[in-house]
Amino acid sequence: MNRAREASSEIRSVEDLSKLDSPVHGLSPLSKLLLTIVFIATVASFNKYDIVGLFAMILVPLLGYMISGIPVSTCFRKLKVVLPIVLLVGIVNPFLDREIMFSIGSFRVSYGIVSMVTLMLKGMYSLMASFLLVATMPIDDLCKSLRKIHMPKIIVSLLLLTYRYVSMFLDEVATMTESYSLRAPGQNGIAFRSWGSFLGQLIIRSMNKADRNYGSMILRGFNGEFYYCDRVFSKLSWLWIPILIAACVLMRIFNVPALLGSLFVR
Amino acid sequence: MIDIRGLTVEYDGGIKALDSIDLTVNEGDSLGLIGANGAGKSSLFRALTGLTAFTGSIKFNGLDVIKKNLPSIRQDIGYVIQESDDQMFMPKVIEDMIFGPVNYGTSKEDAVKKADEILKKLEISHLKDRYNHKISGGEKKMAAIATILMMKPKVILFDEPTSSLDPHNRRTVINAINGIDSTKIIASHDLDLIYDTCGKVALINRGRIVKVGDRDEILRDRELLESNGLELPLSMGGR
Amino acid sequence: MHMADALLSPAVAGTMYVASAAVAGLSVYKLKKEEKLTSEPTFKRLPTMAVMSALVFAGQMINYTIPGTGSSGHICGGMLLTALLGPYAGFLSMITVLLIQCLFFADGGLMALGSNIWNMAFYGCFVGYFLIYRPIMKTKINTKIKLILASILGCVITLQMGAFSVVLETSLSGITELPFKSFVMLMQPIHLAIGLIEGLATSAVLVFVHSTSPDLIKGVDNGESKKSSLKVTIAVLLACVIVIGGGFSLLASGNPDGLEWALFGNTEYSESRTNMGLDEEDYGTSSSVADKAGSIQEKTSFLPDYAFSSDSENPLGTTVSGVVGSAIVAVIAIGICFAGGFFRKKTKKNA
Repeated sequence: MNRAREASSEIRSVEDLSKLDSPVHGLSPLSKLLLTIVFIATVASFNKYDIVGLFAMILVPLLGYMISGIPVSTCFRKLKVVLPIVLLVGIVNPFLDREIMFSIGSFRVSYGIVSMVTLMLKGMYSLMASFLLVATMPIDDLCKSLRKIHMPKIIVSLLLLTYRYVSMFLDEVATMTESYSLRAPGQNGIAFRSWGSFLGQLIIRSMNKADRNYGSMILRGFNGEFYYCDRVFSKLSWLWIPILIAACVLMRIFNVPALLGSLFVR
Repeated sequence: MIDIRGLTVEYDGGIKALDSIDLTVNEGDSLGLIGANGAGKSSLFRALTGLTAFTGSIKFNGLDVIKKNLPSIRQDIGYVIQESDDQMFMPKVIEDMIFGPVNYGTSKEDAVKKADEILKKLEISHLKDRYNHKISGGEKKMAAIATILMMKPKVILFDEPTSSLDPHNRRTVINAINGIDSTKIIASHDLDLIYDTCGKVALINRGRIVKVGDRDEILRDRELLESNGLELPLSMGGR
Repeated sequence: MHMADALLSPAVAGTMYVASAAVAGLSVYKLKKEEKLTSEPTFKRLPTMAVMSALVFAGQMINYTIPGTGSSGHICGGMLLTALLGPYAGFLSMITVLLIQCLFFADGGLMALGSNIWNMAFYGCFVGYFLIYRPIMKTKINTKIKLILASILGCVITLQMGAFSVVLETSLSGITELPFKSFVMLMQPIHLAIGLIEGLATSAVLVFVHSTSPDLIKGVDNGESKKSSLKVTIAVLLACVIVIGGGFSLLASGNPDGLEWALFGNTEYSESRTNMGLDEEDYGTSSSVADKAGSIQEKTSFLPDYAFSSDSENPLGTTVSGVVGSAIVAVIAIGICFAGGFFRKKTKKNA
C-alpha cells in the first residue's frame, strides 16, 4: 500500500535471499559481477532480428537460479518495472517495420514484431541476470571486493553507508506518509502546501543524524577506511566463471538453437 | 579523573545549552546525570568528547580537552549514544565491534578474539554475525555497549541507555552496566535506572547544575526533583 | 528516465560508462583537493553524503499531489543533492542512489548504469550546479526567489538534457524503429512536465530547509565567490561538448549510418505514413529501403565481431532447424526448472 514500506520489504526480501547458502552464493562477488556484465552485454549485442539465437541465452541465468535455489518467480515480479519502459520504446517497431519475415499458417510475422519481442526478451534476460546477482551477493561483500580492486574508498564507503541507511530511511518515510494519510483521508499524496516541510523536516533531522554518526565514528578513531571481516569464497569461482563467459560468447557467435535443430532435421 | 570548570556550550542563535558548569568525577565513580529533556545532558557528553566547541576547561586525567589531545582522550572515553542506529554504521555487529580497535592499530584477528570474549560476557554471542539493521531495539543497545567495551575505555558515557526499551531488555542493560568496572557517567531521566546503577547523582536543569550529592540524598527529595521537571523514582514511592 | 539494459548497445553503454567514470574520478579528486584546502578530512562529509543519498532514495517514494490534477509525482533528486552537498559530493551520492536502484529495484540496469549516471547525475549535479544554480545564487535578489528560480530552471533544463541523451543513446544503439525526430518530440514534452514538478518540489524543500537552517544550503551567501568560477564553468561546458559531441561523433564515424540512419529513418517514416494502407506495393518498396538501411546499420554496428554473426543474412537462421532447435532449448529450459524444483525440495527436506 505504502510505496516506501513496499520498497523496504523488497530490499529485505532480496537481502534474505542473499544470505542463503549455495554454490552460487559461494562464488566470489567480483567474478559474479563480471559474468553478469558480460552476459548482459552479450544479450544486448544480439541482432534485433536474431530471436532464435537470443532464445538460447536463457539457459545461463536459468542454470544459476536452479543451482542457487532462488525461485525464478521472485525476479519476474520486477518485470513490471522493466517491461513498460522497454515496451514504450519497442511498441512502435511493429508499426514502422512491417515487412513480413515469415508466417505461421495464415499469421504473418513482420520484422517489427520480431524486433519488439527480441527487445522484450533482452529486457527480461538482463533483469534475470542482475537480479540473480543481487540475490546471491550481499552488498557488503560487494563493497569489500570493490575495495580490494582499489575502487576509491570514498565511493565504496559511501555505498556501504548509504546501503546501511536506506532501509532505515524507507521505514521512516513510510511512517511519515502513513501518519500524514491518517490525518488527511482521501488524499493520494502529499498536498502542495506541505511539499517543502515534509521532506525538509526529514533533511534537517538527517543532518543531525549524520552529525551523530560522524561523532561516533571519530570517537572510535575513524580515519577514512572501513575494515571488513573477510569471507572465504569458493576457489572454483575463477574456474566456473570463465567457462560460463565462454559459453555466453559462443552462444553469441553461433546460433545454438539452429545448430541443435540441424542435427535433427537433416 | 574528570575535572570540569566553568564549562559553557553555546549553540547558534545564542542558546546556552550549558552555562558555566563545575563538576568533578573521580576514578571508579558511577555518576548519574539527571535532568528533564533539554537540560543539557547530551551537550555535556559532546563537550567531554570534544564533539562540540565549548568555553571553560575540561581536564581528563590531567589532559586538557583540546584538539591536540583528542586522539588520546578519545581512546579512553567510550560514548554510548542514545541512537544506537547512528552509532552502529557497519553492516554486521562483529564488524562494528572491531571497527574501533582496528582503527587504533589492533590486528583484525586479535580484535575478533576480543570481541568474542565481550559478546560472551554480555551473553549476546548469537548477535555476532547478525546485521545491524535487522536486530531488535534491545539487542541493538546491547551490541552498541559491546562496541564501546571493545575500546577498553577508562570512562564510559551512557546517554539514555534504556530509552524505549521494554522492561526485560531494560533489566538486561542495567545488569550489563553494573557489570562494567570502568568509571561511568549515565545521563537519563529514568530515575529508577539511575537508582539502580549510580552511587552519586548530579541534577542539572536548563544548563546549570542544581545539586550534586549521594544517590539517596537527591533521589528521595521529592520537592527538589519536582521543581526541576522530574518525579520521584517508583522504587522511592513515586507515582 | 531510467534506461534499461535492453535499450542500449554494449558500445554506447561502454562509452557512457567511461564518461561517467571520468566524472566520478574528477569528483573524487576534487573532494581530495578540498580536503587539503580546508584541512578537514573528506570522510567528515561521508556520513552527510550517505544520509543524503539514503534520504533522496527514500524521498523518491513520497508521492506529491500535483495541484490542479488528480495525479501525483515524485522527485528524482539531482538538483536537491547538488544544493545540499555541492556538485562533487552530490554526484557521488547520486551514483550510489542509482546503483542501489538498479540493483534492488530493476530501475535502470547494470549495463545501463553508466548512461543513467550521465543522464541524471551528471546533468543534475554538474550542469545544474555550475551553469544554473551557482550563477543564480550569485545574483542579488531575494534568497527565496533565487532558490525557487534555480530549482525550477535547474530541474527543467537538466531533465531536458537527460531526456535528449536518452533519445540519443537509444537511437545510436539502433534499438527502436522510432525516428529520431519523433522520439525527441515524444520525450521532451513529457520531461518538461516532469521537470516542472520536480523543480517545484525541490524548490519547496530547499526553501523550507533554508528558512530553518540556512547553513545547510550551498552557496546561498553571495559575495565571497571564488575567482575560478568562470574557468570551471567553461571547463565543464567544454567537457560536456567534448563528451557529447566528440564521443558520439567518434561512434558515429565508426558507424557512419548511425545518425544518418536516424534521419533517413525519419524521412522514411513520413513517406510510409502517406502510403499507409493506400498502396501496398508502394509501401512495400519504400519500407524495404528502410529495412536495408537498418540492416546496413546492423552489420556495421559498433562491435566488429558483429560481422561474423553467422546469421546476418538470414536472421531466422535456417528457418526449420531454428524452430526445432528453439524447441530443444525450451525443453532444456523446462528441464532445468524442474530440476531446480527438485533440488529445492530436497534441500528443504534436508534442512
